[in-house]
Amino acid sequence: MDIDETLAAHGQEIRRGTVVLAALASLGEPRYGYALLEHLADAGIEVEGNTLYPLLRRLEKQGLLVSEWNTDESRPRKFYSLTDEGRAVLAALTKEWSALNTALQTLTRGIS
Amino acid sequence: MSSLTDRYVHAVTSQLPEAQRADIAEELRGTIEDTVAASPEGMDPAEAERQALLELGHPIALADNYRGEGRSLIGPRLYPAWLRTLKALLMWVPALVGAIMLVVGVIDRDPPLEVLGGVVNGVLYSALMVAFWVTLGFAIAERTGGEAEVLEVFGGPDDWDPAGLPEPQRRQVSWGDGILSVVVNAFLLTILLLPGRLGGDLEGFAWGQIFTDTAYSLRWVLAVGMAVSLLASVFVLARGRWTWPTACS
Repeated sequence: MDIDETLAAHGQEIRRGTVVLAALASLGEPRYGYALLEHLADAGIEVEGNTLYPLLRRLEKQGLLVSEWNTDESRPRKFYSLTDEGRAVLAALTKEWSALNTALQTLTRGIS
Repeated sequence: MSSLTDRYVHAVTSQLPEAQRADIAEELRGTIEDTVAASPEGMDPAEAERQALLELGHPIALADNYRGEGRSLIGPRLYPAWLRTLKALLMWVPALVGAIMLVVGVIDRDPPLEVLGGVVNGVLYSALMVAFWVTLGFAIAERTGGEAEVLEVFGGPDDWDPAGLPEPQRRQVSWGDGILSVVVNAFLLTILLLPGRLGGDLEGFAWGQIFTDTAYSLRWVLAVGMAVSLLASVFVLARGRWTWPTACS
């Protein structure tokens, strides 16, 4: 495995854990799968559909999201939004993220 | 012919639990349509559909993501519990059954070879049974979301006590393991070289024959392998560790 592949693997590992936080943070208002994907991409979070769509269902199963079919438009879409538990988890994860961020900034100070 | 999307959605959902299929299929279909609709203007719709599916990746991989884990007989969650349970049972059950067969044989005053055959049969069969049923149980638990703690008879990872860790041994292979290995090898070699086949006939029903006809006709080949293995285990016992020449054999 050359260094680029190693870097790619580690980078992916770092990003993987952030997708849940990014998704929860974007679902204060209801969004359907593809719209959420676009929203995240616009914000600079590149996540693949085959990761995001199953993740939404898992979060729903865990009670963090609630979904509703909207059939008003030409094609039916499943809209996801935060539950109260989801909001609480989002707050806790945000806190954890900022603690991690502070810690890593301290550790990596002086590294370009 | 159905559309590419139909075929893709079917390929994914056919691998998912019945109850989720319809809902995931409908959402997936909508998502693919959304992706196609968002493709650059002027793009051939068929090509856009193809691209959208390629982006979603292989149907098996996507179905695995929906299920939440890859498919394996026993996944990483249950593997340690499976291994501990299997080891614990394999340590006692076959030995117990073997001992019972031995006692029964001696009480019945059977000829020594018959007693030996009974013991060997009992040990091998009970080991096979233990391995099969434990594995089957855990494989079912893997699919039904059973908890490792429920299945594990012999205490989960929380029960372990650092004080129970064994002293590091200078001998890499303990006397117990070494002797066991020699005994097992000698034992198997003896069975292979026994005149006549093990097992018997009970009212016309052949029971306990551990060798199929093919295996039986190959027993000299097996015997040579066992003899080599026996020599290797004696060597390991003497040296107390595996070395390159013994590891190769």
